[in-house]
Amino acid sequence: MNLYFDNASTSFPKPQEVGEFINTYLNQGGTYGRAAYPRVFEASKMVEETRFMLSKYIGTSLVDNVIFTFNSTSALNTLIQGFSYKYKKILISPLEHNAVGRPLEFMKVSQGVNYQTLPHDDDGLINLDKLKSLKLNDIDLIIVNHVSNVNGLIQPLKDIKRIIGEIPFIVDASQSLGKVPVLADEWGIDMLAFTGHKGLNGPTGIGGFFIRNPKLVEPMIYGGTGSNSEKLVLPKFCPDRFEAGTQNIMGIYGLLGALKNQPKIKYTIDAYYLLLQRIKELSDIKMLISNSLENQSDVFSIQPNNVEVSLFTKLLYDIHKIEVRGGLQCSPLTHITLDTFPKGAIRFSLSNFHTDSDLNHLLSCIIDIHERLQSK
Amino acid sequence: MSDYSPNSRFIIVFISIHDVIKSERLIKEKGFDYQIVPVPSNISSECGMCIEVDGKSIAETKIELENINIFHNIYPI
Ligand SMILES: Cc1ncc(COP(=O)(O)O)c(C=O)c1O
Repeated sequence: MNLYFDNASTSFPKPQEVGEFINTYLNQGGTYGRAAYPRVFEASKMVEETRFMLSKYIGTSLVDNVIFTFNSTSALNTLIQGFSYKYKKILISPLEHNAVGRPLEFMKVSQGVNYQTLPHDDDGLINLDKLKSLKLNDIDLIIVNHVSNVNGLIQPLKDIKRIIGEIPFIVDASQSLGKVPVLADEWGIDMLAFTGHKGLNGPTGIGGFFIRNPKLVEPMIYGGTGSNSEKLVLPKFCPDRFEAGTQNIMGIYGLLGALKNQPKIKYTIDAYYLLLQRIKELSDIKMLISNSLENQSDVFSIQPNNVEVSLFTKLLYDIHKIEVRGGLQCSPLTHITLDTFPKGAIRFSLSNFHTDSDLNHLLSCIIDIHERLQSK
Repeated sequence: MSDYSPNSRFIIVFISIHDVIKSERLIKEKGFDYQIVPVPSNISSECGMCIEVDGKSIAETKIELENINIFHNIYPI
């Protein structure tokens, strides 16, 4: 029985090849570029193979413009802080994580860049009709979290980009890459941040971003790239422009092991929908999911009406060894949108390794804890 | 047809490791004789890698690299 339902924090288990690839790296060594002996060439080749595979997940032919960072938080900080703002106005989705919210707040305090929320429905879905009638001519940047890490809602990126036109569009794909299709070129996504340790099933400490036009953003990290070393300025070309310093090559090997061995989804969509339906039927529980199952990913949350979130979470573990995340999930803006702030919610997030019987078991555990607390 | 003598060897120097790896794959697929070598210091103070190929394949390699817009410089050695 797989009792781990906190895959939106970090996925577990990982494909066994993640460890094998990391081990290979630790035994073989080598850095990225900077020399020409075979050990370096092999390591560099693996880094580039990973970059190439990631470009397929992102849906872009611009492989050089896929950049490695430590995680999506560092990627989003580079994109948000390095962007040059003309009007000092940003629009964001109503379901943003603090990886976006906090850099934005910093930009507000330090540079007077203001941000506002895009028009949306009560589940946080961006309202396209209202978006169409919005005046957008003085907006510098639009940022949208592709899949919410709280209610699992999938935003319609293609339709949003069609409406906002030329305005640079940043997508936070932390929860979506590896789980929900992304077609950056076809949809016209300008920038996209991702992390390796969630839906892509890689190790922690490796993530990155895609940037269609690198001129839009100034790098955040300056240092050695093994290229143009005679000059004190960073090279302008990608990926070197954004990859100063030795990257997490061990993490990249692990991620490559994951990308080459992505687990096929084991549970059925019917079992998942049944789980959602049964929880919805429980009394005194507010369910955080999208209004339409079409926009629903494998993450959802519940907020029990008269019970502390922390108590519910604790009992799930103490009695049933179910691992989930209670609280605000680093997303106060999302919980404000969903009217669950500041109490927060208990979040459940699946992995492709879960089976129908794992989902059935989860349901029985939720019902059990709910009943125990109701009868108190 | 080309200025490249078939009996000489040449090195191709790139701007980034990304381009070296991409080009190596292409040259390997073509079945050309090549070697990864350090960039000679009279060409660049950079201690990175470049690709050495023989005079028989250099002209075709150059065309292939131009086809996919990989910026490079070729030097006889
Ligand atoms: C929507 C979203 N954005 C960003 C992040 C940050 O990811 P990381 O901690 O890997 O930088 C997370 C993960 O918690 C997330 O769910």
